[in-house]
Formats: sequence, structure tokens, C-alpha cells
Amino acid sequence: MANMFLLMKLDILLHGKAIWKMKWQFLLFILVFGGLVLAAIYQPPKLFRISYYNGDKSYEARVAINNFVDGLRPIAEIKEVREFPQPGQDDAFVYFPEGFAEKWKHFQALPIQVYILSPNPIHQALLEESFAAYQDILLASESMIRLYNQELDLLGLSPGQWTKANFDISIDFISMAFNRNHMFLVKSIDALPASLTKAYFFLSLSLFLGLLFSILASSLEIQKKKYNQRLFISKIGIKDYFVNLLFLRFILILSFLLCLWLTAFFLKIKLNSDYYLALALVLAVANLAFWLISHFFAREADYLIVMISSLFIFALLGGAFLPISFLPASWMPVVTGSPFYLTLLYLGKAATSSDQAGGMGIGLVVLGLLAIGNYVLLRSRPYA
Amino acid sequence: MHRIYLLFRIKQSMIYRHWLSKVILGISIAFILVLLGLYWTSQGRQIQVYITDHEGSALSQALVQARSEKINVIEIDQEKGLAGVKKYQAELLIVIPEASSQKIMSGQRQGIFEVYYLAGNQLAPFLADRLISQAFFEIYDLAATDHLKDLYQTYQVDKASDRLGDFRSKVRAFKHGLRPEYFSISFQLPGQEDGQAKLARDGDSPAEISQLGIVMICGGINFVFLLYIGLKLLYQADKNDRIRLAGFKWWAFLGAEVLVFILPQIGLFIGLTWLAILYQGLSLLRAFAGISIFGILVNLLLLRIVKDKQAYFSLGLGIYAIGIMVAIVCLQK
Repeated sequence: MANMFLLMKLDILLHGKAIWKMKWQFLLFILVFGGLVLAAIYQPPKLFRISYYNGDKSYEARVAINNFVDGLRPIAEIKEVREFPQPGQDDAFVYFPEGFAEKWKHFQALPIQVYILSPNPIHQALLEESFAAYQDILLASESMIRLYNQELDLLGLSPGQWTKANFDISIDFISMAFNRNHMFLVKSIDALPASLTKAYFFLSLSLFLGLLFSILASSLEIQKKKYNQRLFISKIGIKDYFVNLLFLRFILILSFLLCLWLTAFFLKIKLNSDYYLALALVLAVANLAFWLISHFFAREADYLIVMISSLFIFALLGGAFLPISFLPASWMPVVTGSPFYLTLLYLGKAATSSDQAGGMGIGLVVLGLLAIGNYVLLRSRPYA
Repeated sequence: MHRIYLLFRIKQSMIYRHWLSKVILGISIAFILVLLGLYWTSQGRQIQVYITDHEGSALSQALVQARSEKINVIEIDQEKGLAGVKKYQAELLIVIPEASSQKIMSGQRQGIFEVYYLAGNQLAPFLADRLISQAFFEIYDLAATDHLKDLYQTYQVDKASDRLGDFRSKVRAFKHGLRPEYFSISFQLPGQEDGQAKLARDGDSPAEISQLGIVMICGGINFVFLLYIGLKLLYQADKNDRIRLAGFKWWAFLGAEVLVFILPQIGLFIGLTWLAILYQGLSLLRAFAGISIFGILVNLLLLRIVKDKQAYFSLGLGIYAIGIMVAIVCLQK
């Protein structure tokens, strides 16, 4: 037991010195973490920027434009302008000419000018096809009401009955057109949030910082190799050394989780308690895996360069700083295979549901195997 | 100039003496070229939309046939469709349940179809809207049938089912005549010539958050590579005193280091410029070049103020992470 306390003191001193030596790096990353979480917005940026000019001051025009614009609001930033935009400002510009509302009421065409300015060929095609599809709705309405009116004529209704029937179907058709999104029952699939929200950055940056600190903690094992001879000659057993290290890892992970929990509390981010268990398991596995890798490095600087640069690249690809939904579809096979992304997905699920027993079971098995691997490598060291 | 070149050759040969440095150089350049190449070449590709049709009616056929040059609509089994959406193989899955047409004919106007997409996907609802808009003739047909049935019942019309059958036949036989234009679509502003419109698209495209993601990742990989070169130069710092004694001034060191950083970038940018011109990606290339220059400047600064090799790398990455944070915050303003 006395040996364990001595080892603990040595490790705490070494860790303390290392943290102090890297204080500016820690401060930088915590600044980034804090800055991103605090500056995160609740609404994702919209897909398009569309501006419009209303040349028709009638009441009907305002109603028609408001309904048209409301349909686009979920996916586009829309603003009314008083002149044509400059090239490159917006993805589309719509010009409503004077008198269009009166013409449309009677299904007469007075074309609304649509200028598609997006540089993205996919967005160009989507906007063009969407406006063509809106035209299809108008034409379908006109055609169907014409056929319906022919049927009304054949029924021989009185003028009042004819007008009421025509009015009812017209209102229904207008309502269906403007509320067509209600025809869909949306069932969104659980995924990592695609928005730049506090919760997303909390999840992604907690994992990134946890892995970074694990790398830094395991790099000290390389530094301690020079003390090994003195330690083991002084009859400190391998088992004491090993258990002490595991216990220290446990304390460090617990401290990290406590800081995270307090941060989540102050930021009012509610997460399932399974998230902290899952993160503890992930960090424990990561710690032991990094410790295993550190056995094969002679110099601490080489180990840190390889591990930190690998972590940074995997984290960039895996959505640490920006959700992968913002990345091109052609990158998905690379991105969704990133270990960082897969771990983040697992933690995201743990944060929102309690059904993670299977994943945790596998994690514990891997933990056991890594622990055995580390013990074997420790025993193979000189003077052990 | 001769001193700069001489010092550059000395430092260059020391950096790339080990085969690992050459491998890291090759992997970094290849990775960035592949990622950006994949992005640019896939710009013209179609967007995938999955549809599961449990009904097999004219309405469901209209949705399935709403495909276009840029939108590929694929009929698929529901389970496979859901799995595909989760793996980002398609933007969304539309499920047309049984009796969907019947629901519209009975007066239901909400919750007719089911649509599945990853939470937060903005493109998916836009695509769903685009597809359903094109099927509105069939939807209006069903709604008109609903109104007619009510009408026949209200006015107790004889042989209502026959009349309804006639109406449906007229609808199916209906051919659209001259289609008046309600929207007139153009790809350039009035007064803008073709060349100017193309330049506007290439040169002044508005910053998008998706472009930020692409530039951030490719720029990050390049930045890490530059940090690696910078670190290799830092490892050589113990020899700098002897080099100074041989008569090399501070400007020779600076010039040599700039050349060491720039040379691998030249190879990378030759490949990228060719792809960018081919696929109209000059604005992205400019942003990437900006990050590359920033990376070189950061390294030149760190080489002069940081002596600890561990601190060099993590400080460099910290600076890049702060750059990402600032870019994301600025883009939201």
C-alpha cells in the first residue's frame, strides 16, 4: 500500500508538471471549446438566399406573395428588396410585376421573373425545377377546375349553387397548394444533430478534448520509462505499478466527467445519464489503447506529434468542428468511416436513449483485452 | 540569393532524408487532391431520393416519375431505403402507404405520405416539396373526385358512380394545351452578359457553410503537414548557430524556410488549379490558398518564438482551431 501511495504521488507530480508546461495549449483549446459552444446558434444557416421585388401593390398581390414566401421560409433566407441585387449576393431573385395578382386570379399568365444566380449546379437545378413545379401546380389547378366546371355545367345547377361549388373547390385547391407540406408525415431519423447547436458542440468537443487529454496523459508513460530502472529495482512490483496507473486513469476520467457535467449544468444542456457512462467507457478504452501505442515510441515528442495530428485529422473529418451533414455527399464513405464520427454517433445515441447495453458490453470486453495487453508489454520492459 | 538557395538545399535535404517524410508528403498531397477532386467531380451528380410504393396508383406513379436530370428517384424496399438514408446514400425516403389515394378522395388533406430523413437535413423537405408539386395534377384529380361525390350526394344526382367514371375518364384523356408561363426563369440578371454571369458564378460566389467545411478539412490536412515541416525545421535549430557563424544572415534563414514551405505547396496547387479550372472551383481554390499562406506565416512565426517541440505542434493546432471558430462565428453573422 505504501508503494502505491508513493507511485500515486510521483504520477500526480508528473501530471501536474506536464499540465503546467502545456498550460497555454490547454487554455487555447478550452477557449475554442467555450467560444464555439457559447457562439453556437440555434437555427442552422438556411439552404438558399432569395430576395424579391414586389411591383404590384394590390392586396391580392401581398397575400399571394406572403403565401409564396411562407412556403420557402423553412429553407431560404428571404428578404424584400427595392432594386435588383448585385451579382453574387443571392441564390435567386424573384420579380413580381405590376398586375400579376389580378391576372393569376383568372388563370391568365403574367410571368413572374425568376433569376437563378446560385453558383452551385445542383442548387441551380433544384431552384429551376422547383419553380417549374410551382408552375405545374398552377396549371394543374387551372386544368382540373376547368374540367370540374364542365361537370358542373352538365349537372344543370342554379347560378348560386354553381358559384358555391366552384368557390368550395377553388378554396380547397388553394389551401392544398399552400399547405402541401402538411401532406407529409415527417419522421426524422435519429442522427447527430445537423445544426450548429450548443448540444452538438458540447458532444463533439467533449470527445475531442477527452481524447486529447488521454493522449497527453499517456505520453507521460514514455517520460517515465527513464524512471523504470529506479522504480523496479526499489522492489515496486509490476502489479502495484499497473494497478496504480489504472486507478490514476480512473481518477482523471472521473475529474474530466465532473467538469463536463458542471459545464452542461451551467449551459443548461440536458443529456441522458447514459451519456456520461458511455463517455467514461470510451475514454477508458482510449486511455488504454493510447497507453498500448506509447510502448512502441522511444521519444515523447514523436508520440505526441503522430497521435495529436492523427486525432486532429480524424476529428476534422469526423465532425468535431462542423457536423458532417454540411460536407459533400461524395465524402460520406470516407467521413462516416472515421473512428471519431462512429464514436460521436455512439455518444449521441447514448445522450438521447438508454438502450446502449450492447455497446457497453463490447466496450468492457475491449477494455479487458487492452488491460491485459498493457500488462504483458509492461512485464516485458527491462528491469520489470 | 545564392545563400538563400544554398541554405534551402541544405534544410530540404535534411527534412526529406528519411523515407517517412517523403511518404507523409505524398499522402498529404494525394489525400487533399482526392478529397477536392471527389467534391468537384461530383458537383454534377444526381441527388438520390428513395420511394417505397405500397399503393401502385396513378398518384404514386406520378411521384416516382418526378425524377429529373439532377434528382434520381429510386423505388426501393422500405427497410433498405431507411438503411440507405442513414448511410447518407439518399437524402430522404418517401413512403406511399396503401390507400393514400383513398384518403385524399375521402377529404383527408394531411399526413397522407410518410417521409424519412436524417434530423436536421434541410435539403430533404425541399426535395419532398419539389416532388409532390409535380404530382399535383393527380392530387387535384383525387380532390376533385371527393368534391364531386359530395356534390352528387347533396343534389341526389342519378347514376353518380357512372358520372364519376366519366369524369375520371375525361381527366385521364385530358391533354394539356398551350401552357402559359407563370414563371419565366433566367440564369443571369438583366443587363448582365453571359461572360459576366459566368464570372459572377465563379468569382464572387457567396460563402456557404458547406464550402467552409470543405476548406476547413482540406486546409486542416495541409496545415498539419506544414506544421510537420515546421517541426522538422525546429529539430534542425541546434545547427543554426554553426550556420550563422558560417556567415548566413537572418534573411537567408527566412528565405530558405519560405522556400522549404512553398515547394511542396507548388506541386499541390498545380494539381488543384487544373481541377479547379476544369470544374469551376476557383473560389474554393482561393480560400484554400489563403489557408495555405496563413499556415506558412504561422509556422514562420512559431519557429521564431517557440523552442519546445511539443508546444510547437499543439500551439499550431490550437491556432488553427481558433481560426475555425472565428470562421464559423463570422459566417453566422
